[in-house]
Amino acid sequence: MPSEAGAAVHTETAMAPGAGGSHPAADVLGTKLNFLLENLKELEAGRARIVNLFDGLKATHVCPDHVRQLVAALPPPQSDTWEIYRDLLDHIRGFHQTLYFRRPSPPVWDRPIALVVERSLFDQESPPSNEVNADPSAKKPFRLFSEQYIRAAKSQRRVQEPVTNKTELVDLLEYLREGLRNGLADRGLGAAGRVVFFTPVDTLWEELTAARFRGDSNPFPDPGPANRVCDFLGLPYRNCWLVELRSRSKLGDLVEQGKLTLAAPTVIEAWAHDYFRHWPREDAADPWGRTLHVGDGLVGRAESEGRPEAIVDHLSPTLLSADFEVSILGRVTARQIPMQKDVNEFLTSKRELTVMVQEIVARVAPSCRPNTT
Amino acid sequence: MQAEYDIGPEPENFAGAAAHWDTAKFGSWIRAGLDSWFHPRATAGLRAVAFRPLVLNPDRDPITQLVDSVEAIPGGLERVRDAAAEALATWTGYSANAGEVLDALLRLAKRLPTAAHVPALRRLFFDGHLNDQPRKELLALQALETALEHVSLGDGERLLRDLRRAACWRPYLAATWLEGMARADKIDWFEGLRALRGDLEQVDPEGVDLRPMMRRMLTRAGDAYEVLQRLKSLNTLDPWLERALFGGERPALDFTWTRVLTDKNKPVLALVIGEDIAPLYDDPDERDRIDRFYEINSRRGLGPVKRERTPPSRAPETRVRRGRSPEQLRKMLLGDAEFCALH
Repeated sequence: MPSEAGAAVHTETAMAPGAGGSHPAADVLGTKLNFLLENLKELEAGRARIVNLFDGLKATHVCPDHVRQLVAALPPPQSDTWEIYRDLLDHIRGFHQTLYFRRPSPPVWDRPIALVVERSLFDQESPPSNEVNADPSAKKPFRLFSEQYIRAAKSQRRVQEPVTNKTELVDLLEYLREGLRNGLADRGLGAAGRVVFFTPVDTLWEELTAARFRGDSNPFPDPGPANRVCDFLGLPYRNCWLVELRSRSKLGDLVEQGKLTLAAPTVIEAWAHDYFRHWPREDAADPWGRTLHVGDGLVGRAESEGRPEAIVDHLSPTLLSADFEVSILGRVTARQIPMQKDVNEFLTSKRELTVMVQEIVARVAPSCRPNTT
Repeated sequence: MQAEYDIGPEPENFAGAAAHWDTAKFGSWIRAGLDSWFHPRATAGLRAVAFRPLVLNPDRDPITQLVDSVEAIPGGLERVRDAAAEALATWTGYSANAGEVLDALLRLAKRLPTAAHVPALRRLFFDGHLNDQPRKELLALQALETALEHVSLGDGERLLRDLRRAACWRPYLAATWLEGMARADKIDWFEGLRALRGDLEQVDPEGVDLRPMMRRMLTRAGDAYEVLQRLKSLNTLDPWLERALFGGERPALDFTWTRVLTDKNKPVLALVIGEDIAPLYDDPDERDRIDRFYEINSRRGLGPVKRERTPPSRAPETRVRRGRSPEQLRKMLLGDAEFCALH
C-alpha cells in the first residue's frame, strides 16, 4: 500500500507557506479567505470545519489550489455569517467535480464493506441531494425507495411502527429487503455533492455487529450494540432503528463493477458533518479516514479512535440491489450525544484557532499576510 | 469549562439563544425554518442554516435533528410541542412546498403528541385540505398515523371513528386504521376486519401484501381458541380471506396436528397462533364449518411437516372428533404430507 503522505509531497512543497512573490490577486484572495475563516470562527459549527481544513491542508490531503479556486469563486463577502456559511457549502457542492475525491492514495481493502444508515433513509421525507445549478429533478425529496413502493407498502401496512417486538421487526426487515430488491427509486445512494461513507468489514466490525438482526431465528436486538456502532462511527443518531447495508463483494470488485470513485474523506466532502475529524492528523501513513469515537455524550474519551472510513461517489440501484444485504443493527436509544463545542474542543486539542486561521491563509494564499490582530 | 488553550470567545450557540425563547418564538422559528428547508429553490447551504442559529446537516431529516437539539434545552421540548401544534393548526396548502412542510409538521406532531393536534388533524381531513396536494395519499396516511398517536384521548378516538364514516374516507386508509384501532383496543379486530373487508381487498386484491398486518393483529389477539370461534362464525371463508390469513411462508394463522388423548390419541388438526393452539374437535353441529379448515390445510399443499403439539388443557373433552373413521379422514386429507407423516 503506497504511503499516503509520501504520495503528496510534491504538492506540499509547491504550496509551502511563503512560496512565490507578493501578488495583488493573492492578497485579495487571502483577505477574502481570512474574512471567511474569521466569520466561520463565529459559528459553533464553523470551528470544527476550520480545524479539519487546517489538518487536511497540513497533511496535504486537501490541495491549496482547490481551496484557492473555491474561495475565488465565492461571492463577495457578506456581512451575515449565516449567508457566508450557506454560500460556502453551496459552492463546495457546486464544485464537487473539482474538489471531491482529491485525497491521494485511496485505501485498499480485500474484503466487503458496510454502510450504516438510519431507517428513515428508506422511505421518509428527506432533503433532496441538490447542488447549485442542479438538474431540477434532483430537487425532489430524497428517499431510497420509490414513491410507488412506499405508497403500496404504507397502504398495505406492511410495517408497524414503532417496532416493539420480534414479529414487527421481521416485517420491517422483509419490507427493507423487498424494497432493496424491487422497490428502489432510480437514484441509488450518493449524488452530486453528496458522497457515501462506508467502513470496512473487519474483525472489530464483525464483533460490533455480531448481534445484528437477520431474520426470525435471531433474537430481538438489545439497544447496546446499535449505540456502540453509532459511538464507533461518530454518528449523532438517536431514537431510531439502525440499518446495515453490507456488500457481498470485496471493495475492489465493487469499485470496478460500479465504476466508483474512491477515497478517504476530507473536510471538503464531509463539510455537512458536525462530527467529522480529519485523519490522520500528523504524518502517519493511514490511507483510511477515521471517525471520532463518541459515547455517553463525550467525544474521543472512551476510545482513542473511531472506525476506519472512506467514501465512494455513488451506489447505483442495480449495485445496491444485487450486491448488498440488509440487516438491522438494533434500535439506538435516546443516548446522549456530544455538543458541538465539545467536538470543537476535542478537535482543536490545545491548539490556537487563530493560529490555524493564519496558517490556512498562508498555505492557500502564500503571498498574503493575514491580519494577525 | 474553558479550554486550556483559548479557542476564542464563545460563538453564538443555539442552546444558549433558544433557552430564552417562548412558544411564539419557537413557532416562528419552526415555520420559517421549514419553509426555507423545503423551498423549491432551497440549496444544501440554505437548508444547513434554515433553522439558524442551529446549523443542521442538510442531508438528514430536519425534524429528527431539530427535536434532538431542542431536547438539550430545559423546557424546550414542551415549548416546541405547543409551537408545533399551532403551526399544524394554521398550515395552509397554498405554496409549492406546502405538502413537504405538512409532512414534516405531521412527523413532528407524531413525535410530540398533544391534545391540541386533534382539532388540527380534524381540519386537515374534513375541510379537504389534502385534496389538492400532489402526494395526498401519503399525506393522508401520515395524518392518520399521527391521529392514531392520539387515540387514547377521547377527542382523538372520536376523530378516528368519524373519519371511518366520512366522505373523505379512502380504502388505502383501511389497514392502518384497522391495526391502529385494534392495537389500542378501541375496536374488536374481527369486527373491524369484517367491516373493512371490501376496502382491504381493494388495497390488496391478491390477499398477499396484507399478511404482515394480519399476522401482527392476530398475534396480538393471541388466543387461538377465540380466533377459531370467530372464524367458525363466518358463513364462508372466501378465497381472499383464506389467502390473507392462511397463505404465505409466515401465515397469520397456521395449522398443526395434535392428538386427542381422550379419543385413542386420534390426530386432529389444530389452529396455531404463535405458541397457542386450538384443536378442531369434532362437533356434529359444526362439522361443515370445521371441514373448511381441513380443506384449507389440504389446499396449502406439501408444506414442511409440522411438529405435533399437545392440546391445551382447556379443550372440552366432550367435543372430541368421533364422527369420522380414519379412512374418511384419510380420504379428506388425501395428499396431505403432514397427515401421512403421522402414520
